[in-house]
Amino acid sequence: MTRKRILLVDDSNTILMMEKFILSNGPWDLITASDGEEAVCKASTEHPDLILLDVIMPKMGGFEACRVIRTRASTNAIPIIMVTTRGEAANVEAGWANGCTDYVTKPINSVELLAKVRSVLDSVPVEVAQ
Amino acid sequence: MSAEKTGRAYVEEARQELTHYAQGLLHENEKLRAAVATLESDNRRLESELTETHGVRQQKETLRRRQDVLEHETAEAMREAGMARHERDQAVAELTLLRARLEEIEQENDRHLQEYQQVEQQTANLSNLYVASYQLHSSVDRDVVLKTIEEIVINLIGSEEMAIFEADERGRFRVAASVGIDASRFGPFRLGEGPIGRRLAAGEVFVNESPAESHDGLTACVPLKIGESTIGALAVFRLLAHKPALERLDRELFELLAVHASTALHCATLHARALLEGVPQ
Repeated sequence: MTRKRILLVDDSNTILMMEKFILSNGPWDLITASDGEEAVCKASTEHPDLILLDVIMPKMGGFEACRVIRTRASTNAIPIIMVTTRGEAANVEAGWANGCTDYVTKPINSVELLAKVRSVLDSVPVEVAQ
Repeated sequence: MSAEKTGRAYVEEARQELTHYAQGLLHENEKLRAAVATLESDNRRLESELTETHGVRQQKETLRRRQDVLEHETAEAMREAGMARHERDQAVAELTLLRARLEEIEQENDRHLQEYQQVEQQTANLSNLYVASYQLHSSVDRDVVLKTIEEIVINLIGSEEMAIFEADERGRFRVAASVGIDASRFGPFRLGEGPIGRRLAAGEVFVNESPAESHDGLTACVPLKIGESTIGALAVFRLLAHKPALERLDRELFELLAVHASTALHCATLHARALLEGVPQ
């Protein structure tokens, strides 16, 4: 069985490092991208099992990246957890409207993030190596 | 003649007596016959009754045996019921023990879960501190350092309203970078001047427990110090809407920033100055 892969997307190295710290002990491989365009590209080429997507990023924001990923047949089933500093209802609604699976707010609570990641990945079947 | 008469009378008397005796015998015989008939009848009746009695005895014997069987079965059933009661009592006692053990295990499990979550939280807190420290010292580019301080405040503390001040050669603090506020409202100030200068003068991290009640909206003021010299300041204003208050980790991050952000910023400033002055790298 291949290990599940998580694509971490954030323009902040601080957040990427933080997410790596939180998730590195789990049974997952971690891939990173630093903006929405790179996230869309890596979603197509790497086929991650989950994407943690920041909202505000250069080149392409998180909401738009989420929408693009949802429109492509090869990536539209990938669960996406939005990571946002804005926990207000309007932002959360925007996330749902663009097809996100769930969201977490910054500052990231490690227990909450791990719980959500496990919850999402537990419901995703593992790829079997050919 | 008289003898003849006497003989005849004697015979007659004897004949009569015999007749009388015979009649008595006949009568007696009749009585005996009747008695025999009665006895025979009684015998038949008794035989019939005996037969009936025998049947009854057999039934009685059957019933008695059946009663014995039933009594044996009852005794067996009672013995089994006793054993079952005993087993039930044992099972109830065992169940009570198991329930108590289950409760203990559940409590132990809850305790372990809490400990595990605390360890996870502590690990995360340490990770936050490590990440902040690592990022602050990952570059000597002044803009990168300032950006890193902003990222730490936004992403690890949870505020999008802040200002970073640096002291110039004359000890006046000026805004070096800001996020989410109108920086023009902060003119140059010295230690002890204005709300931020006054907090800086204490030389320690200031945390406002009730920022909403503060007229300047200041949540925290962190002096950036090199040794005893305050070379800058970090002022944090309103926290993110979903972050109700600062936590212990935030105070630790402020303490870390007070030392490491100042060092990183000082190094970056020296580096930038060296570049400007053409000092060979």
